[in-house]
Amino acid sequence: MRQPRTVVLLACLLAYWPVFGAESETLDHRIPPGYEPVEAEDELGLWMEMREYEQALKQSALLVRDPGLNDYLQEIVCRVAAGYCKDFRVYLIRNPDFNASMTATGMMQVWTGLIVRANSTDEIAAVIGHEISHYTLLHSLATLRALKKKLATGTFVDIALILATGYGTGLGQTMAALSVMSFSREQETEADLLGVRLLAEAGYDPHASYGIWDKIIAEEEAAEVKREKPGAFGKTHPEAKLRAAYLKELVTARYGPPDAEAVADQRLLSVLNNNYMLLMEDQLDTNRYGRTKELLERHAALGVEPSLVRYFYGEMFRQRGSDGDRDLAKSAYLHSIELGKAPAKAYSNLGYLYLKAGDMESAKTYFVKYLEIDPDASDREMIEFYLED
Amino acid sequence: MIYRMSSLVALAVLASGCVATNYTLVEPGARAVAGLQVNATSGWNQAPPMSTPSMQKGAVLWTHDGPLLDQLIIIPGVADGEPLMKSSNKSAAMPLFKKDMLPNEIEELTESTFVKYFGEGNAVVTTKNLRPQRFGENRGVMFDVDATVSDSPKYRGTAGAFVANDKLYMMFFLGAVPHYFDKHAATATSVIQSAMLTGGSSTAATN
Amino acid sequence: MNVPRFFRLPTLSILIALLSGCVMSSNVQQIDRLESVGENPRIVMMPPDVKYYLLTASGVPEPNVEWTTAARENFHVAMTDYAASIGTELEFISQDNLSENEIRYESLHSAVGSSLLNHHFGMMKLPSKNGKFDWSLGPEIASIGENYDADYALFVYYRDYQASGGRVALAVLAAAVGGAVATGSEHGFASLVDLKTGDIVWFNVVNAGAGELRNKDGAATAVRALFKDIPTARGSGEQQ
Repeated sequence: MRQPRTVVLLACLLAYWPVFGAESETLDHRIPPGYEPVEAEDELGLWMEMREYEQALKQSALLVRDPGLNDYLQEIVCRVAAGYCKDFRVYLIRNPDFNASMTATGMMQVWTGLIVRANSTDEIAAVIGHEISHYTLLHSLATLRALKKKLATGTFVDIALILATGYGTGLGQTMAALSVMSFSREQETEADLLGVRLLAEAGYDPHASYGIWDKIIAEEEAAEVKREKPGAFGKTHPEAKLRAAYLKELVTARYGPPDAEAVADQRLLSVLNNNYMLLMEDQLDTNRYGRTKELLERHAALGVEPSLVRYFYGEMFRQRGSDGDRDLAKSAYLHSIELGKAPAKAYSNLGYLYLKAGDMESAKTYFVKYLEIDPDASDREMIEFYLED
Repeated sequence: MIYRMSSLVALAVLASGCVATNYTLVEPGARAVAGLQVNATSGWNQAPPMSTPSMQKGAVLWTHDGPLLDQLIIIPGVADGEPLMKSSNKSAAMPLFKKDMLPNEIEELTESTFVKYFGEGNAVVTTKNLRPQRFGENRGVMFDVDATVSDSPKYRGTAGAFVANDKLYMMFFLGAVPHYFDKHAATATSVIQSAMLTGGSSTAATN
Repeated sequence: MNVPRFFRLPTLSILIALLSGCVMSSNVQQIDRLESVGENPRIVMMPPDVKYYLLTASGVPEPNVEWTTAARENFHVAMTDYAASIGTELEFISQDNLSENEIRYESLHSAVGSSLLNHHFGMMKLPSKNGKFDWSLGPEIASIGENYDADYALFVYYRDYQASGGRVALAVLAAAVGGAVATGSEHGFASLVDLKTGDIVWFNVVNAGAGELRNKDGAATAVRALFKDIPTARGSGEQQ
């Protein structure tokens, strides 16, 4: 099974080699810092549209305004961007999925799903370096122009597509269309290559660039419900495995093998600890417990506050609800409580588990504790109902 | 997702001419919704099935001012292992009802379902004020909902649910903020609280 | 990775376009004249959502800076003149200066506008309304009235897609094979909200032939079309 795979991978690598064989040495920014379009009408139009989209984004209900998180991201951006630091604004959006994006005007979006998946600040920096490269390599404009050309010379089959993407497209959908139809495979590779250079020059670990993809692959494998690859989107991202492979080749060739196990990343740990409830509650709401479990394993290894990690293990087992999971959940909550920083709901959820098991006495014990810890609990009436029973 | 119409669908409608989609008036008074009975107050309009593709069979959507502004959804009889709402997306990971669910789990099931309903990644939903409520002879719960949705006003909501004969009966109301939740909350809550199984006697509540 | 946001709530553009074929009426007027405690009724103009696009052969609408800027400038001038001609004072708010509260109401207004287009002007009638037009933003909007010392708020939405030569050619080709390609259009709506009650007291939907915002005269025409039958300070019967 493995042999043919390796052959296929190598074949694909060879197909890509011309790109990073020849170009990687010469790949460089295509615009200077402080760039703004002057002449080309389509570019001016694109900038105007993106500026207005940014206006709307600033007022988005899902924008995360926490200064700690924003400062953390801003620092990474400026370090990786070096001379281009002032060209970017980064917006943290509350979305549990892993993503980051960049527009032609230097507006970067990072989703909270990226933060909760990061194993190191270097990994976040790798993604940011990749996005910054899309900007300095002028990919958005090139894509817009290529898209127009392609559609105009297409067959009548394209008319349906024209109708869907063209007429009636408001700002949001233009943006969506651009991000879905986004960058070509070549452009993604270019951004990977330049991104790695920026990463290393900024003093981050270039091996983080493929580390992320390895983990995305691991998460997908751990998932119980796999991702669909809807149409166009799937086509424009090189397979994660391929990407991990060629980046590993490139980085190892240029920068040598990875260091021995890295030390705990204090900055990231602090950010995760301070925002863990928010990040993990959003993750839980996706009901994707296979992935949640994968993330929890990483957080445990990273050293995120163990009491909180245990609590969310409890939540995850409870959500998964397979045979034996109730007991695993119980142990997890008990462990969380033992470690001293359990959230109040560890007690009430434990109470409910005992209730299910028919152990009324233990249930009441934990319900009482819950109300002691959180006297303002909004579900007091529900809990008291069980206490009176 | 009720109000997420695809551009292609919209254009197909445009191309085909106008299609009158009929909302029907909900007569006030006792109304049967599959195995459930509710006391409908005045002013509700029932949405035609075509505009509610994510609803389970037998479920209904009622509204005063249009679903974007206010919606009362009644979902009668969700079976063990079934989701509250359907999704055509195979990777949606809709949470499933389990017949031995306790109030906290019903609350979580609803919260996660709302996230998927508004669009995963488009909404942050929280629930609170979980409290016991009787629905006819069945013991159930009520709780409140808050949803922050991108490119949309916020929504506030109230939900009521009970389990009977191993099935979940769920009624919830969502209203846009400001104004629309407040405008209809009292009347919607009374409809929710009036819900009970049809057919008189019911088995004892299982929680 | 992320679910593409391709399939979303139909934009107002699509709703209005849908209406161009199915519209029963396009105008609602609830009141005869504008009222005010002060000398002249004061209207606060919410940031107008006005955009001009070049609709290229490829179908990708290109936002056109020159046209949009001209359109917005002309609109501003035309609006100011028009407001004066109906005996009102108009204050423009810019998007940058919106408070969180005002942003909430902008968002609510989009939802109310879409609902109106579907359920009042469009085919999805709500029987319990019985034709009555009672959509409101709610009385708590009075906070905006206090903030700007205004009696009414005006919301405007306008889109103009200008077909390029290539686009017209494509339309001809498409028609030849039985397909249809939209060649360009303009559409929009304007709505007037009473800031004491939050009630929408006047609403107008505009489709083709509204006028040309890119030049001054065209803008004046467009503004008149957009504000057809808007209540004035002097009451109906004394229109511009």
